[in-house]
Amino acid sequence: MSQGIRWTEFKPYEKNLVKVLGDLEADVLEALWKLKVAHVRDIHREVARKRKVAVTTVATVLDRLFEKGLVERELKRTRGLYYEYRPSLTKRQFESTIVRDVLKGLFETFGDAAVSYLINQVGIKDEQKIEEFKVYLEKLKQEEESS
Amino acid sequence: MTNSILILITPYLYATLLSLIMSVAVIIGLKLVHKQAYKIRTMMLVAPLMGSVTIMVGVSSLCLIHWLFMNHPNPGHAVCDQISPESVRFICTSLVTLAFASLGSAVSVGIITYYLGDKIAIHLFHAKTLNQSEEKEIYKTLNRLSRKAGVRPPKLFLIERSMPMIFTVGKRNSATIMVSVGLLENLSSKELEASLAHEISHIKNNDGLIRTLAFSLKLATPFNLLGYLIEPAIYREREFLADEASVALTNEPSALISALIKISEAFAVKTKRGFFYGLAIGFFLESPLRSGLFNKHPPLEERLNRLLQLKKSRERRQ
Repeated sequence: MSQGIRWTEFKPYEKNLVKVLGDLEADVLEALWKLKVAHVRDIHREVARKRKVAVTTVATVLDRLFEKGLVERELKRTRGLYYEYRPSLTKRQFESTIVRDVLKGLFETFGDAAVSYLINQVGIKDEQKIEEFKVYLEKLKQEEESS
Repeated sequence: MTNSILILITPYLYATLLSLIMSVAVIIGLKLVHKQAYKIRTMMLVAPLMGSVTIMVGVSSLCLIHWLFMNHPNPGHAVCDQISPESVRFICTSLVTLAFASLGSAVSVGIITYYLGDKIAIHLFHAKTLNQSEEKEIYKTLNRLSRKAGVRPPKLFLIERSMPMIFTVGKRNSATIMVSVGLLENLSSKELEASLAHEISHIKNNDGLIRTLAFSLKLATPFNLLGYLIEPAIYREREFLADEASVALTNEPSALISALIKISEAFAVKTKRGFFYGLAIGFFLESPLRSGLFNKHPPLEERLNRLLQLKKSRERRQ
């Protein structure tokens, strides 16, 4: 698992972000990526376009996303206390982190099967790409040995 | 031999039976007492727990005396002549130890939760004092409600969580109300006032002490299985009372109703059953993890129904 973000499950047969997040968590995070910086009410307004949900339910979900390291929040004091939320990672960063973590996990545990799948099913025929994979696997092995 | 052991344990079996009968009588008796006679109802619920403790102490003392005088000739108990002194010593010692261990743990847990509960909660939630000069409005409301309720204004601590949370810890004269950022940003000022009034009513009604007492008494009598039903029943009674007292303080039943709905909606999502989640739920709302009888908060529906009735009767009076 990568540093910073703490996601705990991978559901290969789910769609989109629900593969790695809860249903509502995915919607809230998508909304936050769209808004960039937002108050819980703005996020709720955005999520409510897709589904019926209460503001405080969104607040609980934001707590979870914060605990997972996907959301940052800053305490503001203008006109009462409130949080200003922003995503910790961009959508692209988030996706590459997930791919890295999942692939790393697969290579660590099912190295041979993973490589043969990539070569035979995905169709990586490029010699150079295969070389890159070998280097990557070596690096993983070394990391494992040193740890 | 088995027979003799059974006779020795008999006092404990009688004690258990007596406690259970007492508890059943009270649970049935509660149906006859008016729902709003909170004082009587709480006393009725505490009574069987107190009774169980008295029975347990009595039986254990008898056992202890029996054991102390066992070495004297003619101890006056036919059974003890039939079984070896070692067996008598073993049975009596274990029974007395059990009694004193549960009593001791109940007293120490009671003292710790009553005197250090606020410090433990502040530490667990990493709570910080809510700045009085920056949060004038909420302190103004708090002081006004405390004055009206006739209690010393409690301290206010802030929990850095997005979900709405509010609960009270500590003794009556130095109570602490903990609120989360999520509560302050999601509740309207009237809803916040109603929730604060609910917590201040807990302080006024000395619910911290009653909760500790109920919990300790349950712990002191592990053999009274009905204690596990009676303790949460006491909490539920106190919740209804705090709801009513809150309305009496603010005259705003609708605000408390909407505050309760908003807070309950925070738990609509399937959240991780973390420690904080458990605590938060345990303090303010019914727990979906327990079934009704073991729940420390009354079902939301019943709370709302009672508040709606209260609202109607108030409107009729005006």
